[in-house]
Amino acid sequence: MHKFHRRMIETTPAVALLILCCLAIAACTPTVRVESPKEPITINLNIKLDADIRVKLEEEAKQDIKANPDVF
Amino acid sequence: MLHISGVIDSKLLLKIISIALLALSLCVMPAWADNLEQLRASGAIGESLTGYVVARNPSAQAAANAINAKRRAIYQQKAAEQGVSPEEVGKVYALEIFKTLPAGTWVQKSNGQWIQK
Repeated sequence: MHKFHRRMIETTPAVALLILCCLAIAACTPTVRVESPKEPITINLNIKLDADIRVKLEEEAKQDIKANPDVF
Repeated sequence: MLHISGVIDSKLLLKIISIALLALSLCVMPAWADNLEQLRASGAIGESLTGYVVARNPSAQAAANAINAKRRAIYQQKAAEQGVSPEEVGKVYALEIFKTLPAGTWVQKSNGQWIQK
């Protein structure tokens, strides 16, 4: 009985260390995340302008954007 | 002069402290001190497809208002010149702006949904 208790006490630190190591390995296991590819984004501006006015405004927009980086 | 330690006298120490405080205060300046490029890159401001910016961070609201005021003036002027609505002008500009935006910039669609370019 005494011998058994003694062995238990002697092996306890080793067992504790083993359990700790198992926990550490479990904690370090890399998590794998699976992300589905994003759906393509649809943008519908629905611009209602005559084609010639729209083209003119697009040209002016490009110039304004380039000339005013603090605004656009 | 009072010597606090044998190495640094109080005058120099005061100088060091004031420079440190100045440097620290620069780091906590509000978002309006950043330019539009920085605000968009940090996500504090996003672009709406109406042609205006939207503050995503409350600290950038003042900057957003200032930018939108300038844009509104431009859109209204162009609209008057062409005889169209400023809203349509805004949409044209929004598309051109969108093309220039770096990847990752937050963009708000017409339905209110936020996406990143």
